[in-house]
Amino acid sequence: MIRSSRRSPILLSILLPLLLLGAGSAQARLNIEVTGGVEAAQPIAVIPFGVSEGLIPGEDVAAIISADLARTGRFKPLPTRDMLTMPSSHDEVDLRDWRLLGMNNLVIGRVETEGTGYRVSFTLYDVFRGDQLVGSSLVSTRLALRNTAHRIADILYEKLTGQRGVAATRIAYVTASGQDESQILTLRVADADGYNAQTILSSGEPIMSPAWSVDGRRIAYVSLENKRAAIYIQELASGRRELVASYPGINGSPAFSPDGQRLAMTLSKDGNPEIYVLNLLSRELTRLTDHFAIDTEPAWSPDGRSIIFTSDRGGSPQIYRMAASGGPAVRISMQGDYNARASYAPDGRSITLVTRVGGRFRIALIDPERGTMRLLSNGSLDESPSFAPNGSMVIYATAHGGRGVLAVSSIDGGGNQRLSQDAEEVREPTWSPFMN
Amino acid sequence: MASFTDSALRILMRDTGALRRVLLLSLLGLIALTLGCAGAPRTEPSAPAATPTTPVTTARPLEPPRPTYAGPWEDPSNPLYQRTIYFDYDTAEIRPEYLPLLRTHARYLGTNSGLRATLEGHTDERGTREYNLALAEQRAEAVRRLMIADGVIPNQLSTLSYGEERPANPGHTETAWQQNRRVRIQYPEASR
Amino acid sequence: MWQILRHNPGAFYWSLGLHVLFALLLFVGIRFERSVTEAGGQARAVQATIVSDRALEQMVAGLIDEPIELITETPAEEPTEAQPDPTPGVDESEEQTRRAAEAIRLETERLAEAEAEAERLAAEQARLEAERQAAEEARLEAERLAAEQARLEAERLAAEQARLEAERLAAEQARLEAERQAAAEAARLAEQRRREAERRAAEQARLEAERQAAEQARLEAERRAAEQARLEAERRAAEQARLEAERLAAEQARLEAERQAAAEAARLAELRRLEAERQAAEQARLEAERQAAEQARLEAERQAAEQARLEAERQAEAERQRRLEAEAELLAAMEEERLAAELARAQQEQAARERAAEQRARHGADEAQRTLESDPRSELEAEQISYLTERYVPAIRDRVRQVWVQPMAVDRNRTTVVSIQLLPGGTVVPDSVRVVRSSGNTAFDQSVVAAIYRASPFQVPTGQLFERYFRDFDFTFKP
Repeated sequence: MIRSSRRSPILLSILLPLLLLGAGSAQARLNIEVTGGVEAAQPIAVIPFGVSEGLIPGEDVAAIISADLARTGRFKPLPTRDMLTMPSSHDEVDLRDWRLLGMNNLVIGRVETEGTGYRVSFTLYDVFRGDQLVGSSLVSTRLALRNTAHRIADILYEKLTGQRGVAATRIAYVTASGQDESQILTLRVADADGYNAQTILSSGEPIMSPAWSVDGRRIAYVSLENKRAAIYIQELASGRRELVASYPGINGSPAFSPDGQRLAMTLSKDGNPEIYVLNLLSRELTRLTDHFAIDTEPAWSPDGRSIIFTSDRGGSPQIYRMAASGGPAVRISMQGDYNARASYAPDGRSITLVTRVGGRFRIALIDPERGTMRLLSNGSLDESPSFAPNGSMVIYATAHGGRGVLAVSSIDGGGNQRLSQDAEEVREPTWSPFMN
Repeated sequence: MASFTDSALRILMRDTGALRRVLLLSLLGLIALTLGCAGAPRTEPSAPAATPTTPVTTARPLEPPRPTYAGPWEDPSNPLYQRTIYFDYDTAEIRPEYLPLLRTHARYLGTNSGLRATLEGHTDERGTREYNLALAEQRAEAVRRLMIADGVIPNQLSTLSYGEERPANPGHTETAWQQNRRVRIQYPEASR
Repeated sequence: MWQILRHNPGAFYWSLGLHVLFALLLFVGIRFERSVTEAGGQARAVQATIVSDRALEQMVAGLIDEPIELITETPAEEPTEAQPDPTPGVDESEEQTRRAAEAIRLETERLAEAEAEAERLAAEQARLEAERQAAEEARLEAERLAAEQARLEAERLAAEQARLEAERLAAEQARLEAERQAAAEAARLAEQRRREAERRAAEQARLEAERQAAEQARLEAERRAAEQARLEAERRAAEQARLEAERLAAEQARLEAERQAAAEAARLAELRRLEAERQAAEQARLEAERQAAEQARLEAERQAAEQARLEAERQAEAERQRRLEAEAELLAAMEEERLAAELARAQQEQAARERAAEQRARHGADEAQRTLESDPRSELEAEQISYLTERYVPAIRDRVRQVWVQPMAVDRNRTTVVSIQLLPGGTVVPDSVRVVRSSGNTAFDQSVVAAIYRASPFQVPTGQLFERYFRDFDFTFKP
């Protein structure tokens, strides 16, 4: 005991709050202070949901919820095979079982027929205190059952962490199959877990740099369909699209401003790649940079006041920041000889980017205030990082088994997970804002 | 079509006895054009349907035989046959060894002021796509500036940046990367 | 006149027309008068021829009687003078008479003859006179005519002269006008030519200027291009140098970065190794727990045995303590009694003091310590506390820390306070853990509660010390 006190001065300091109540003969009440527990994913058991007699829902709601929670990096769902019992109603629950398994939380639920669709009810238990933290139900159509599961995952996540969940958001990405002349590229939109992918554009020429509008209803992208790079904005609901930039040279890197009224982009119409901002209402085009080096990949700060971009004006690609109205640029990436494709976290306090470390391109997180950098991925050709709208995760593209796949990394160190696989090479993911 | 006419004229000038061949080629060209027009546009936006997209089976027309000759750049014994120059990693600087080759092309274009060429810029797969799109544009632009300095009329040359999207070698080795960091001088094709 | 024509062509044409009309009238008037005069002349000549002697005589008599006209005066005087001459010869003899008669006859005859002669003469005279008169008349007439002619001629000439003069004047005027106009026209043309010349000159000058400017511009452009090229070359060279410098710097930085990266990698590797070890330990622990769960009964038995063993140990410890305290048995008994009494009293006062005590509890340990030190009555309690502090509390804290898995990324300022109850032997009373003060983060609160249950049982003292301090106490958790 004394030894442990000596070992750590902190221990000594926390030893002392041994509080005695009152003076003299007053009863003393012991209070022991504990700090510095290990940070790790929290154990949770999501029991396979019960179904009414004869019902075959087609989706394993509990499995979808478990996967959503696991992907956040903050929860460690108990594998189904380790479950001793599988209750689906309150009467069947004996919390002592789950205490023995070390679970903090338990989720049970049922899927029942309601009209032409389903009613999905669910309960979240605090295992040790025995409380019901959430008890609710959602109505779902048959086809939307997956999405309903994502919404339940988001309700559970928000109840437990206090942060809005992103399971019901979406991602956009580009796929490629075939080679050269017969190459087919598509732009797809899928659920945040990679399922339910739908093609919104297919082309024989390269498609690049999808970017969501702030309301999640439109996507801007670069298409070389006319044998030159041009920027389009496509409305997702109708499929209608509009050509917004097709100047001589490259037209690239579209990025919607947080107020949704401007589109930053890269144009080389004046002979060299520079950053421009197009006012989507007035169609007024403003040039922000003027340098003989490459200036590209603009991204807005969450408050819309500044723009960060990639420039090799210093001899190697680095991230610079300038006011959204232009003006002098300040370098903000301080480590490494290749930093590119930067974007802000939703809270504006950190930036994710692609950096080269030892000849490998990896996803990293920098704190522009302190100048520190932390690596998030471990591949060799990782690219296109994009923050989840709650800032808890970053999605990116990485090479796996000789082709491009998508992966997410939990910002808090909860590890990296690959998303469900399309058959094609997948690249350039970008995470949608919160839907509705 | 214009390029086809050019090529046809050139064939005529080369070999006056080839009139019949020219007519045959014209016919083939027209067929190719018709078939090309008949095919659906390859780029099509689609509204996200509630149901997953189902693969569509499309019948493809047989590709007609390619016309044989568009210009001296297709002749392997001609110095113009060499139409690709290569770059070092992450730079748009033209290596000195390629200056004579570029001068040869510049002279050819200078004496054929009606001829147009497209300079296609490429990078290897390393680095971000948009940065590479910009880098490939700079490479094509560097070649363009040099050729204009050598007497080519500016509107004879256009640039097209593909970034890392169209590798010449799909591999992930240093050799593949070397082959992909390039600018290619594209003369009009014989017929489409 | 040109101006009139220009400004009022109507007036001009009227004027011209009137002039022409007057000229025509003048011309026509002269000719008409002359023709009338000539016709009168011819009629007179015819009249003169028809007149008989008698008539002429009468006419002459009439002329004499009534010498109205100057023309008849002179011929009438001659007969009058000739009549008195024959009258005195008729008064002489017979013979004289015969002779006289003869003479008379002769005389008569002679007279007759003379009379005839006279008559003839008169006639002749008259005729001559008539002729003369006629001639005279003709002459006069001719003179008159001539005069008239001359007058007319003069008039005509004068008119002609006037006309000519007018014409001449007009012509002169016209000429002058024409000259003036010609001069004006010439001046205008000259002006025009001058202007044209000036314009041409200006144009020429402009073209020249443009050509020169173009030339200048071309030269300038060439110069600029050359300059540009030179600057570009310089810039490139500078850029090259800069890039080279930067490349060296970057290389330096890269080496540094690599060094740092290597250090970082080593650090990360170490962290990872530690983490892996920790996770392995964690895994092993969970596995063990799961196995424990599966063998719950066995575990319960084992626990019972353990309990028995611990109980035995505790009894042994009690035995030992009893032995150790044997010498001070009385003192201890008295002390116990005193303590019991104090506790009883304290419990009586507890309800009243609870609130104040709670507030004081918020004060730091130092103050508590001070309070204890300043109060001699608490000396025993202080001893006990230091004993607890050294012997039991660190063990309990370490045990909880080892099993506490807190959620990630929780705000460092969060705090959770829980109260717990223990059974003798240190096992947490089921469902006794209560969150007294929530952190506001459900997952964090849960991790705290879970850690306490997982840490159970705690190693605690027995007897009064347990009852006094460990039956019911608090934990404060901070991330």
